[in-house]
Amino acid sequence: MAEAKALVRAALATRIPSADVERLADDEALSSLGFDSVALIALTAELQRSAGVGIDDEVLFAPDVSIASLAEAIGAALAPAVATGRRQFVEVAGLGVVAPTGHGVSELWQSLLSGQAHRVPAPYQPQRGHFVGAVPGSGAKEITDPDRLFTLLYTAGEEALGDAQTQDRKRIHLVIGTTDTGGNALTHALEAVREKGGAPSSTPSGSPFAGTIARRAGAALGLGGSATVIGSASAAGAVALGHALELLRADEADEVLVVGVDTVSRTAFHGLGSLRTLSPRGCRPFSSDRGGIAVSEAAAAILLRRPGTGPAGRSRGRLIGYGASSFTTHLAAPEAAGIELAVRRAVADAGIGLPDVSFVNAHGPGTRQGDIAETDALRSIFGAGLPGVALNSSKGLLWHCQGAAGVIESQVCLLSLAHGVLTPTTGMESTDQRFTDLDIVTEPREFPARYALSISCGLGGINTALVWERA
Amino acid sequence: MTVTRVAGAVMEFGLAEYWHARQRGKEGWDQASAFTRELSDCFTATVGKAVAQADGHLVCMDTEFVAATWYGTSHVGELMHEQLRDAGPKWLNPEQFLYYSPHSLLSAAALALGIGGAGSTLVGPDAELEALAHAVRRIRSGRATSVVVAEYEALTPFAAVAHPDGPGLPDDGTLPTGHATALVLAADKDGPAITVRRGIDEAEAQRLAEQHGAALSQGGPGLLRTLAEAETPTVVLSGECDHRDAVVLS
Repeated sequence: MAEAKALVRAALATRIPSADVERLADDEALSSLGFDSVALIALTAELQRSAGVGIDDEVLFAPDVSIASLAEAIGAALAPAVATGRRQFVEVAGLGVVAPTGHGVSELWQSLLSGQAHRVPAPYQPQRGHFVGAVPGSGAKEITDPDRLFTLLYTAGEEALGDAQTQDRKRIHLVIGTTDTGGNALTHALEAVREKGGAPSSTPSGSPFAGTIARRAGAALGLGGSATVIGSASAAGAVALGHALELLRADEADEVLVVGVDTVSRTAFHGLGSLRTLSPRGCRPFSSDRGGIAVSEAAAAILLRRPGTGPAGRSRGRLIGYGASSFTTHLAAPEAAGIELAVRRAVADAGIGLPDVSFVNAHGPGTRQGDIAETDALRSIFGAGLPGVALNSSKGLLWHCQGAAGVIESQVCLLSLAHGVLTPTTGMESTDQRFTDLDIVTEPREFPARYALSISCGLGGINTALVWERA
Repeated sequence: MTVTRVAGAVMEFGLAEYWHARQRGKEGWDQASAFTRELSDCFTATVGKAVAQADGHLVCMDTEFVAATWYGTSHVGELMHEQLRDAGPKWLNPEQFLYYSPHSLLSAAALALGIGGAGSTLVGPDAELEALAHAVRRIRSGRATSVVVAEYEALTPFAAVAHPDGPGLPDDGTLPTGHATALVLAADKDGPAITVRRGIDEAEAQRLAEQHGAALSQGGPGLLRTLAEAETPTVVLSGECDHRDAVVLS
């Protein structure tokens, strides 16, 4: 309740002098400050955005609407998530990853600590000095292979299934997150049709239609459940985790394998270049000389399991909350308000309080506006408490893994919670003055957190947040 | 908690001019690129029509949004490939790349209509069923009070081929049309109820149809359109014979 009241007072303070807000008693009618119905609607809209809940008209238009009544409405809306029946977590049963950090979760962890990852010159002309993140041992031939998406997906999926010691793969559902819907498989097939005529080939390199990859991967991995592809831009991996969470919470599945996967395709590489988003210096989150992103190929897999349906003692952590928003002012612009909404919804869904969150693995792409929007959102959420929240971005090391980002960065959270160690934000030679007040992790740090918040965003104003809990 | 269909809208649009533009090669690039924006506008208009039918306060910043598509906006990747091959990166239109992701149409519609809830775009042969199932789960669990479920499709000459997992094509060999559909679903409102039954057999599907006095139809692409246009109880079946998924509108 105190937090909700503080939220209402903060919203009021954006419209009237702070001194007036401080003088106002909790149960004093807002009309005493001259708030008419239009001002109340605007205030309530802001509260709904910041709290991530709906406020009924009966509350809003009550003649004696006050700080207390608005706070009560917010508290009541949040209460169901906090109640035991709604605080529904799922277990993390297995992890798998193939990325510029190497093959496997242990290599990922070592790379995060050492700050070393594999880069190669961009395999497309003109390179203009650009590099891309690639799986160690891979060169241009492997990276540009039209079936690369499937190869990476299968490798990470198998590792996660093995890690989970799954008994019956036939009951496992599959949710894939990717941005690779116009990539090298498609263009390879286009060229084949152009040269030879006929229908798009589906062999030997797989279907050129990205939407069919879940069925193909499910069959290859021996899975028997539903197979879904999420194509929600760079947040696709995180959105896939959100979908899987709902499948499990609804008891429609006992186990769901989530794979975030992407390649470095020619069209995406040059498309990002046309938007002037690529930087030849790679991702430098929060750095004064950040200038855009560099992209990586990667696949990261997490097997999620409904509690009580697998072998005991196999948990690598828990997914306890997911929140998202569609909010921006332009398709190419990140917006702090949209990120804030996603985080508040995720924390409410997790049934924990904001003070419980002590570590945030940021989206942190290293773009000029992206880092500002995200930290503005965190300032609005955590207020004066933000400098006490440890913050890092893994993109300085991993670069932008696109559709895999939300899943591999969730793995960073899970590994950090399990080891009790936060990993450094690499690529940050000098901190932008805008961020010097923040606790950005730059060296490995012992930090026994219980919860971790992972933020992922995508082009078009899709914002997501996931809350992970230590096993 | 009952999930109800509050509103539905369907739009069809011709693709002949776009196909013609693609056949003209470099001369048609500007027109083909402009089509991407037109497709987005058609989708937004369809969703807007459904939203307008719904109660004015129902669709808001908390409303969630799930979209489904088979081919998505892969036509952007097709065009970019042609431009890169025949002319080089300097020919790429930056605005065009904003629509590279199939999610971009949902983003544009959400921006235009003020739909601020969680958004996701599902791609592929099962996208419509899984999108609908996700929306129903969100409402039934009480985590969302209203969800827009929508689909769009605009096949290119390359994608409009017979494919075992592909979208239906006209039987008479004519060009496929583009289409978009939007449903507004909400908890406990006036309107037909929607339920999703997973993993049932043929006998159970038949029993469901008899129970609701419903026509039984086969699913696949067009599921959302069937649900948007149905005026009488309907059961739509998807999946294999021993493992069916049924969507019931009653």
